[in-house]
Amino acid sequence: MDGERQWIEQLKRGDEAALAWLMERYGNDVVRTASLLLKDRHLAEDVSQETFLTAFRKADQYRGDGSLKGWLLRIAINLCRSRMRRASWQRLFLRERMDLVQDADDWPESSGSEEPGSANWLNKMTLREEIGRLPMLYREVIVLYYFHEMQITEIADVLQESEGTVKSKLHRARKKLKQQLEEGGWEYESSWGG
Amino acid sequence: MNQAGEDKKLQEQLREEMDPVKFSEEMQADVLRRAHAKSLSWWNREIRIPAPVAAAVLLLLIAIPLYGWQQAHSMQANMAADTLGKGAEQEERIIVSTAGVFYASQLEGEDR
Repeated sequence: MDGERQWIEQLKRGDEAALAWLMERYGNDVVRTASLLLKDRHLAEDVSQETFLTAFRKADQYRGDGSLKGWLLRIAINLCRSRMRRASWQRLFLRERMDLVQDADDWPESSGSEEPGSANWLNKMTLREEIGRLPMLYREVIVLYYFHEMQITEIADVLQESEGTVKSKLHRARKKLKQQLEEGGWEYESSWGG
Repeated sequence: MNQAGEDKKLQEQLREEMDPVKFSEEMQADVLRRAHAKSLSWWNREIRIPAPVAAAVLLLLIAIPLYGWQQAHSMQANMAADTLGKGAEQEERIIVSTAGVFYASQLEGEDR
């Protein structure tokens, strides 16, 4: 932890070695979070790079009252929200173009050509796709809860919301995800060998 | 399966699915290059202008020439009206006397 504090101090002084350390340590967490939220790997890579640049430029705004990972995730989530808003506007004005972009599935293993209900279809159904079908509001809490294994207080800190709000959002999100998984024919024990 | 067990399975499954997604060395190098470029040149800096500010500036850019044009136009109209008014006044001043009907300017000329 003391080592981390030293790196943070260096980051605040604009040391690029500290930026390299930050990316080495939290890069995967940030890019995976953005991938889950945006459902587009290229956009997620772009957002995650932007996250580290923002963190480097605004390192002095990190007060140290929460975890460094939480602060980075907050930046990443805000950037994802901004991209989603921009995409909504673009979709409104350039409907046809956006439809084409959405049709080009970014994840190589999800072809969507399988017969629904078949063994292959079930195997190709992925949890991240089901999370991607949730509204953004629910997707954020689900990603922080399941992927980052965060507690309610930590999620509330990252999202800058009250614990009560997070608790109710998480409750509804989990219910909806479970419903989706069950409708898709997922069985916790049989599908995942549990 | 209980809630905790379900959660554990979901967490494991999600971690497994996301494992191939990585923040590559190329991406790291690109971030470092961009960070370095930004710290060197201030003129190469990206700026973000919030939408309300951009809208206000745009509105001002449109409003200022419009206001100026309106002012110039009304000033011109006033000047024209003044000139016309004076001319009309002078033309309309007709003096009727027993000797006849005269323009005021004619009589003024004789007075001097």
